[in-house]
Amino acid sequence: MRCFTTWRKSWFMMTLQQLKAHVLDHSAQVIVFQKDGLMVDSCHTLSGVKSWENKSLYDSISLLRSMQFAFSHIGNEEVIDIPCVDFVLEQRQGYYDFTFSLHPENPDLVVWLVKDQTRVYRYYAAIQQERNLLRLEKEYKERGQSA
Amino acid sequence: MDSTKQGISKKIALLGSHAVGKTSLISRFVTREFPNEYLTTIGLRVDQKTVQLGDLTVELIIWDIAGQDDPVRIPQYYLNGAHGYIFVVDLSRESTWSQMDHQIQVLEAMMPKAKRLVAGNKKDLLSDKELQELKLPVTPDFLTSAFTGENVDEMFHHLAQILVHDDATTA
Ligand SMILES: Nc1nc2c(ncn2[C@@H]2O[C@H](COP(=O)(O)OP(=O)(O)OP(=O)(O)O)[C@@H](O)[C@H]2O)c(=O)[nH]1
Ligand SMILES: [Mg+2]
Repeated sequence: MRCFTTWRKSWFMMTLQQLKAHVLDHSAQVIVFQKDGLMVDSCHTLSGVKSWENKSLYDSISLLRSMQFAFSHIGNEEVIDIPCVDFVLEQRQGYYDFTFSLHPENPDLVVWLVKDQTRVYRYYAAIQQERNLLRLEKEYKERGQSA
Repeated sequence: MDSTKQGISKKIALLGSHAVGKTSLISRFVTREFPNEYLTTIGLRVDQKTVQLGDLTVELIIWDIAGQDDPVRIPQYYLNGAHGYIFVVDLSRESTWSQMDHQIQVLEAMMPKAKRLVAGNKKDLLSDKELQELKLPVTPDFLTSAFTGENVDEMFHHLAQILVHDDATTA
């Protein structure tokens, strides 16, 4: 029988940092764009975002288009948090958390972190739906009684 | 921010309690459809539609924000930069409008520069007599029905007009 103590750290080929990157790869993507919207780089871990390459993201994504002013005035330490966006990331419809901040090495660039939270938010949506329906039912019942 | 290749672009938000018809109004306006099933919005969904005001093309970028009784709980970044918003109540449910004066006050503080319209939705569910008897704390600018489409286009066009007019007077 293999004893617990034989599980030595050296058996693992990946460092913890690599392991973390590997796990997060499947749930997050980083996209870098200029303040005029031109996409400069993407790590492509969620989606290839081919259709956005060499174009202004503002032309393709109305949400970003409506935030141009915010991007041109974003502060050095500021993180613009837009959680729980029902969004289609190149045909992948889901719920994503977006954060936007300046590139730590180049303040002319915006770093857009896309976190895929579809699983969590679908669960939350089901609960919220049930709650809202119950509230509606209760309200209609109360109204029926008072009428 | 508001220039695009095509013309003027404005961010507007739809706000109000749950199930008042925000998503249905947007759907009626953008795709001319009325969703039969109630699917609550969580977080945020963004839609877009272009309207023609005379010679001017105005793109409305519409943020459909999950229903919330307490506006303070809406993430501030959802509201930042909004040029205008529509506060929607369900005329058939008092709980959605009994606190509307307070809710609007809070929203004013969160979006001091944004122009506001108030929509009393689900007009189709009330008789003329019931409509006349309603005493809302704030008089709606439009009585709408996402179901029949009544006043929906008119309301969005009116907001677009206010926003464009605002540009002209502040320029
Ligand atoms: N009769 C009638 N029903 C409507 C009207 N507008 C919306 N509804 C219904 O009201 C329910 C809620 O509509 P939604 O548009 O999903 O409401 P919402 O404000 O987006 O709700 P949340 O996303 O939960 O905040 C749905 O069952 C709609 O079909 C209307 O004008 N007339
Ligand atoms: Mg909705």
